Amino acid sequence: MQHMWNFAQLTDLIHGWLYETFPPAWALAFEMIIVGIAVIGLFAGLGLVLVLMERKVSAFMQIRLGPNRVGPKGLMQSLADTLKLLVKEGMTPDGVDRFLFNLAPFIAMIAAMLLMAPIAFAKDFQIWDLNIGVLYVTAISSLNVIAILMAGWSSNNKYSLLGAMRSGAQIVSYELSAGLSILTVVVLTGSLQISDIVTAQSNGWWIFKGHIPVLIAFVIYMIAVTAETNRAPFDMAEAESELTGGFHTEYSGMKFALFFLAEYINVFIVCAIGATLFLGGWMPLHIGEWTAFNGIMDWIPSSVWFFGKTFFLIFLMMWFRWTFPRLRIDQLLNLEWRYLLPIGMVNILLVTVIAILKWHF
Amino acid sequence: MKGETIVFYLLAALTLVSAAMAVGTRRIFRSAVYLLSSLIGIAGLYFWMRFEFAAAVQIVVYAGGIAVLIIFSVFLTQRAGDDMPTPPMLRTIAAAGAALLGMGLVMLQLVAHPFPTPAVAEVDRSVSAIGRRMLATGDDGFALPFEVVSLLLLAAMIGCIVIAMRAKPNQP
Amino acid sequence: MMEPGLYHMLFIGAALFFIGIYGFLTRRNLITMLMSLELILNSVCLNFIAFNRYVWTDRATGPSMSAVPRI
Repeated sequence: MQHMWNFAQLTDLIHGWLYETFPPAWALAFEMIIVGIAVIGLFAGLGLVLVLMERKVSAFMQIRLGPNRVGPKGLMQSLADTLKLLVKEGMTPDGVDRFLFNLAPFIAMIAAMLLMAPIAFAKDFQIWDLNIGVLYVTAISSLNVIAILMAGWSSNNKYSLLGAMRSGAQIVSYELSAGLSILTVVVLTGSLQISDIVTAQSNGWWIFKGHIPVLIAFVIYMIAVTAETNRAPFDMAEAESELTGGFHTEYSGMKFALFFLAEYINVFIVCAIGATLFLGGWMPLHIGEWTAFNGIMDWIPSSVWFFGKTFFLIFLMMWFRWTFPRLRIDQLLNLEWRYLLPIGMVNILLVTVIAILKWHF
Repeated sequence: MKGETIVFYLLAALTLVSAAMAVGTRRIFRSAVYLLSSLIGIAGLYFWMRFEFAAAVQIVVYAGGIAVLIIFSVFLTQRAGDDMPTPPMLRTIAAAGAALLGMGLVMLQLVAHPFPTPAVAEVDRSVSAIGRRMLATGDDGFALPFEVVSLLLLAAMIGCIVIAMRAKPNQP
Repeated sequence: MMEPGLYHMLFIGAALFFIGIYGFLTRRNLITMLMSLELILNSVCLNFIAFNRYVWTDRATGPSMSAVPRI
């Protein structure tokens, strides 16, 4: 079935033209520059969209209008906010470790950028399809905690330090649950590569094919990544009412904006990975042998599928935020170590049995 | 000079310079951060040699585990903001001399020793191949070390639980 | 000599090892000594992987062996 928008043709065209015109080393360098610009552009676009979406969704949940003054229906609000953050003075308080204080936001940002590499945005449209795909994602996302700890410590502020410590404990423990639920899909697919995982779902998404255990894994994954990205109800790291702002209390201007942006990009990335693993990535909704139905679904471009699923999951995380009250730190750790981790471990055993006996569809 | 070569020298410089700074700096938190960047440089070298799995494991274990562990123990036990005292001059000189001497000896041996040329057959280094080798019992298998390591991990886990378990207060 | 190969990797491994030794001898603090030890362990892993990449390419002993000290 021919897709309407085929990105592979476009990328092949650019690739071929560059290699014909320039020597290979230069062509590679140009490709890197193009990819870098594309990723930065995607970053900026996603940041604007997600911040606006967050405010609109929260307004909807609380039966108010949300931003509605700048532009039609307030659509330009986040652009105006960005402009404000850009021209604000970036202050560095006394007594901070200047080097680490200035480095921390960039580490958060670089980690978020590296995570973009293995994500398949559409059919045949992926920056780097490396053979350890999801393992790479879990590896790089653990760099985030370092950025938070650096920011919290170097600020020379007890609220920042407390926020960083809480966040460290939280991220390190919830990483386990997220890893276990990622593993369930890896066990079913038999590969870590993102393209293999997506291809394996061509006759149905894992959340439908894998029976109850994959559904449980999906729920655990969503809870764990909500905690990993420090979002409410797990926003112990920031906890405005307790810690004034957590690890980024002392940050202002551009450096604060970088932290803020990295947080939203991380939300996008974990949702994109969730959509890839459980909801089939760019794969359209196919149901078994219904050729007519599958044909109609194939006419929707694969990038629309991918972004649709990802934004649905992001909406889910924003919904959590306005539904559940913030947990206490001991409740948070109890939830992970007493409930999610044991359930996840039993679950992965079940999935292994299913995969060996080939009970999945 | 190829692009690959430049990348190699950059990674090597990152690894060695940050390792030297990690042992040289007097601020303990910075030392931990430099150590982490050195270890990430090593992960980059693994990526450069196309051992993706080893590189990813390196980042998971060191960035996600050991660096966080070290930073937490710095937070909890040290006064992290203070500078550490400089070691006495004599010890610094002696340690540097010992390290340089050892390095010189090793390099002499290394340059003199001819290594065999690589075998032609390239083995499958994918994750599933490594996994099979980990549980194989034959000539190329690692079942015994794997089991020994899992026993060690079990012992460490039990030790953690014993330490973390609080003695129950005698309630009336 | 400019093209990176086995000797370059072994040089990095040896240099890391002796930087670790230097740190281990000069520091008088348990945590910093542990950090130096990490450098030493990592130099060993690097050597395993380098030998596997450049000499005994027909075996996958390197990654397996380097996974063991890591744990």
